Amino acid sequence: MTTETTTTTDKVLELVNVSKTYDGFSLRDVTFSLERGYIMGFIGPNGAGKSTTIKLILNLAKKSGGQIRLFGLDHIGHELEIKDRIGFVSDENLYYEDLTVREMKNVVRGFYSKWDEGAFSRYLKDFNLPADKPIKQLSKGMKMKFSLAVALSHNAELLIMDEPTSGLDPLVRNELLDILQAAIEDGDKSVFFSSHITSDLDKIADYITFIHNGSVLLSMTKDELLEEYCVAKGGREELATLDRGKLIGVKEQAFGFEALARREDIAGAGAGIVIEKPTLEDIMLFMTRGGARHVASH
Amino acid sequence: MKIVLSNASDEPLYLQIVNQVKEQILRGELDEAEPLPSIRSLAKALKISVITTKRAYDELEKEGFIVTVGGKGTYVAPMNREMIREAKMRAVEEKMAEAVAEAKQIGLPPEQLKQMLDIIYEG
Amino acid sequence: MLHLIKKDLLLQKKALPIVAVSLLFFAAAFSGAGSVGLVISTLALGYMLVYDAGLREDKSDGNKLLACLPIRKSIVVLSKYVSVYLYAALILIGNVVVRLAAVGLGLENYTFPITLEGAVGAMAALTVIFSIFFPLIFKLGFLKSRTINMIVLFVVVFAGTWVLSAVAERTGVNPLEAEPGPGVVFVMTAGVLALLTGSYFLSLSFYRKREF
Repeated sequence: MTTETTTTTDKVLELVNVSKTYDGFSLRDVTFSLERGYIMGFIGPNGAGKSTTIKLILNLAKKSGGQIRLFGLDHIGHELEIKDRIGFVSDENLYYEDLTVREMKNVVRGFYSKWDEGAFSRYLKDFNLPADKPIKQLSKGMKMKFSLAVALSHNAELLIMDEPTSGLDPLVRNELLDILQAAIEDGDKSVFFSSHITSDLDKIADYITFIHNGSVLLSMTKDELLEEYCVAKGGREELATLDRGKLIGVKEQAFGFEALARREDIAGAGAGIVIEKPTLEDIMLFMTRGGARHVASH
Repeated sequence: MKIVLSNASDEPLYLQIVNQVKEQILRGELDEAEPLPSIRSLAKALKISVITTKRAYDELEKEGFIVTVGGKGTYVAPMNREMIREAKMRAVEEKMAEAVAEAKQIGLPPEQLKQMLDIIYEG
Repeated sequence: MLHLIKKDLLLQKKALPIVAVSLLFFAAAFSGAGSVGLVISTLALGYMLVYDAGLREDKSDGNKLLACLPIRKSIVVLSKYVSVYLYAALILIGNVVVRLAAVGLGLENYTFPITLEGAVGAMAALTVIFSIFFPLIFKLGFLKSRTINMIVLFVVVFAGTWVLSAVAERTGVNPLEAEPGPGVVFVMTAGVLALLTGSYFLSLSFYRKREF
């Protein structure tokens, strides 16, 4: 049984000043880390750089600068050892469509040193995956579950997931969240989950890293994030009484306004202003609308 | 143990947990030395972050309601029900003393204070 | 590495009937070509098999999958080279079976003979051709390299046969039938091996630089 408090931090994923330049898009100074036993949600609008960041972590593309470490090891110097210890689930199916579930599994299992056939069989049963059906005949949800079954069957310590829920119905998405929480229950595994569907992460994420236009806007615990900010709404007159500089992503319409703000900045505001708990989607929408000026330091 | 969380409420989730557990302990619905779920299994059951449940448990432990035995788990603290009640009474007294001090500052008479107390208790 | 080769074979389950039919086709079409028939058959079928596996893999973003698994890039590249010889062996066996059947049925004029020169020539030609193909494949992927490589294949086959017949006319000796001196054999083998090695390292370097 692992103890919850560790005297030294056990970072399973660490990025320091990572950058990558493409034509027309660049990732700049991406820095964040994830400790063992937690789920980090990696959010941002489409095109923000989430998939690029994941590609760099996996060395599917070469970074232009910075350091990336998994389990304390350099991601290129120890690439093989690291890949043996991580599982990857993508929104596109990576597996050969013509092979059956069983055949594909047999292809993949040979590469992992800690393959657990018993675990895989259990997942097959729990997920109702037909072992002898060609992968191309599986629904999108089933394909994702297959990816997950493979990722969870070789004693991976870190699951990296790139938009795994896109295109899935709410039922399957919920099942996925259940599975993930069960997987990290022992405190040994961690999950890095990128998504633009933030409602999934609203519930189970422990940490949130928010990326926009290639830069990390914030990286902190989800609780702190949702407590630090609030959505302020009111009429046009109330808007006039507020310091515009402290409002993020102000949206005005005929009957009033809404904006994101730090709770402490709104504290003295007038009675006509409604203050609400924000969701991750609110945070994402308002911050991307408002430009990256207001960034939580951490 | 029963925990029902409301997302609509403005109260932070961890505080909701703290308050609900406290109430159940004080009302005797949770017995002394009764084992509590681990922070991770609680997080999983409630579909929330484990950091939230950890914060709730830390708070409860700080206030003396639960105790964590290293390696074994978390249990309801072996506290005398009377002691808890007394501690609460003292807290109520303190708050009342504060309210009285404020009232005196603006010259509020005790009858009005009692009226306000009734209204607040109802609401 | 064995897993990788097994994977390639698994991927081609569907292609096998076509390959078998093609084998028969080539056996008949080049029946008059003597030992060269085996060379051409091996080249054509080898190309088909390598490309079939490769295209299927490219279609499913297979490279991305391989890049996520704990396998060394050097092994991935090596497995492709080794698979070529595995296919060559299978093609050889297939042709032997066809030839034996043809002889048994009295149809030997409809298929080309299997000779040692043919087999050696096939291996050498295969090695040379894929030494040229693979770097392009690892740089551009199977999809993009297909057209270029198909052209290269045709050019080599036709230029090769033209050169051989030209040499035969000039010197009155058919290079394929002639007994080469040990010195020539040594130089040619060394040259082919050098080409193969160079090709491997070039392919590896391209594959390492590739971004997915």
